[in-house]
Amino acid sequence: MLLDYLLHGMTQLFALDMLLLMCTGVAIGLFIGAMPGLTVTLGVALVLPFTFGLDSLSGIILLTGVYCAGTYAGAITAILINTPGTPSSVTTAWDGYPLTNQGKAPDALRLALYASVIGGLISGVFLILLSPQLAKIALKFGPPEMFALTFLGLTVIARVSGSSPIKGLISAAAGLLFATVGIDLISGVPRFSFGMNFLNAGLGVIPACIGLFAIAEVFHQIEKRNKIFIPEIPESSSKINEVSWRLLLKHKMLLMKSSLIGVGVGAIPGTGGSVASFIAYDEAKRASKNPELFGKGSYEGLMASESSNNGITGGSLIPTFTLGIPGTSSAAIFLGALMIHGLTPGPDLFRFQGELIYTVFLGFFIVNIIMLFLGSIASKWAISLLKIPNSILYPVVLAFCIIGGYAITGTLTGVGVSLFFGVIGYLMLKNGYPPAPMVIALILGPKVEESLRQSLILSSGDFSIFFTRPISVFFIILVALTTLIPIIRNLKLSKNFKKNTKN
Amino acid sequence: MLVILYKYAPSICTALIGLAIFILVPFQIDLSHMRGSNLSGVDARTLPYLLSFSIIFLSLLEIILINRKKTKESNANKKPQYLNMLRVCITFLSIVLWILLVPIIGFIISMIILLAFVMMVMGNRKILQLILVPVITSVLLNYIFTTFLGRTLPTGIFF
Repeated sequence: MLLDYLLHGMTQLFALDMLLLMCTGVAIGLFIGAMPGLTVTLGVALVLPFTFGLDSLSGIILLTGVYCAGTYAGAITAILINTPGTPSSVTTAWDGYPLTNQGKAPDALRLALYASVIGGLISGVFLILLSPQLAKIALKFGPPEMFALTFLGLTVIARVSGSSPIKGLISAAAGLLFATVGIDLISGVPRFSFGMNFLNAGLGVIPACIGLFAIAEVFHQIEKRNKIFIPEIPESSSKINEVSWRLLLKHKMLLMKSSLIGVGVGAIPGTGGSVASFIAYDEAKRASKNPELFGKGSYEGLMASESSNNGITGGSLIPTFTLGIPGTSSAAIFLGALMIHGLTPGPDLFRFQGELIYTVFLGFFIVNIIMLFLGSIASKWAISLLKIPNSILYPVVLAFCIIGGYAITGTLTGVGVSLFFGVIGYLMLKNGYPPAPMVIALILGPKVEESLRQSLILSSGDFSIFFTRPISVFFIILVALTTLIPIIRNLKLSKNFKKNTKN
Repeated sequence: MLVILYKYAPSICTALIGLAIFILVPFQIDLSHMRGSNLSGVDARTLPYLLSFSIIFLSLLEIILINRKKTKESNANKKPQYLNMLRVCITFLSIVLWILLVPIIGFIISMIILLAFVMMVMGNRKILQLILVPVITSVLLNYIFTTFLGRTLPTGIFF
């Protein structure tokens, strides 16, 4: 069955138009990821409106290209100018930039690319192997389990996004509130429509994503007006090519371990690439024979960071496709894209859209291979791209945001909603509220409410239904732990601080 | 006093927003037309009530937990740059104006004006760039959306 699906996928993906589409996605991802300030999430959100005119497979494949390549491309600026293009490339800069200073920039770039591709491919294998199994388990979930699981996903996301768990929870609660806008699907009652008809259909996830991630970033850059400082890059001093497949083979266990860390962390909703790369980097340093080289230009550090970083891509898509719970904010936009293209993420996706989903998985592999070729070209052009002034780049990004907001609804209300969320996102950024929980809550909101109400209909309003089913109880205990532990810890810290100041 | 307000302002604002939503719920969710028994005990108002209450509760908790030392340090470093914030406000207003003008003058012209304006707000004063970038971006986007993706963009009195 699986083989049939994969063979079918191959026939579709090796068509010229699909290959061109994948190359386009990878090229866009490389460009966006390499520009400091433009994140992968922003890239996926901006490209999404361009998929409306495409069929669902082409649209999702295009986004896959942007996602994978954008995640890698953050390494280019991290290595060349010590400015990580994405937050998950911070650890890449720790060893990549010292290597550049040693005149080994081409080696570092090549190694980062190889490690990223390996991480991406390994995560692709797990995506194919684990997703159907998880989907089978998810089929056994009833409304109480689904409610407990989505609720767990939300609390984890809120807990780990940003520096303050409480701000994360406020962001998630606000996202759930925004999700209630529109006609209530169970009772048919309009909610928070303020007499405006367009609000009866809800606020829309994609305009919200465009606003929160892209317009907010444009406002932020307008406020900062920072210019990127491009330092002089020392000429390559390595006479022989130090980075070869032999080096990769020598460190195959490190690459495997780091990629697996990426897959594992990516599959946990909300944890994100930066967490994975920190864990992988730390683990690589612990296990290394030369830990003293870490931070001074270690190939091992660079490989660990990049392979875990791209291991996230496949990992985060596992819960997205199987449970409808996104692993990262980029995956959340993926989820929105699936819905827009008429696909319902979750176990049914594998039952009724098997051909399409396995073709996407196969596309994930091809995209990573394309990235191997285009990535090496991009690294040569990266410095020229960085010379694009912010006063050109961000107005163009703004134009994409506006047209994206318009394309979703076909009316100017979409632009208005994007702008509304842009202002909210900007204020959130300024005050330390993470936008990711809000987006994910917006997406999961209807599912949370629906499963809650269905569960209570089943139990005639008895809340004990959530505490009598083992899977549901397990998830609820996890919710309690992830919510209460940081709050109690903060309260203790606050008490200690008061004691210290008194003394 | 101002420093204290600055420190607590975001949490106070979120608490007030939560309170406003809590008060708005019965006015914005009309259940008077609902008939029959509610089996679940949860209706269309339950989640908004719960969430707005959570926002109030969490905001108050945040106010209690604010780490004084940290905020004092960050306030010392952070000086609000009003001119830069004004630039953001101007950009916001220009997008609002774009929304109002686009049905009259059409997508291409309005986008050219908006882009050139935002570029100027961001400090670009090079005439060639101020002309070329908005024109190329607007025409290209219009072409991609209308020709390749089959979407119609607003046209005004000109085109």
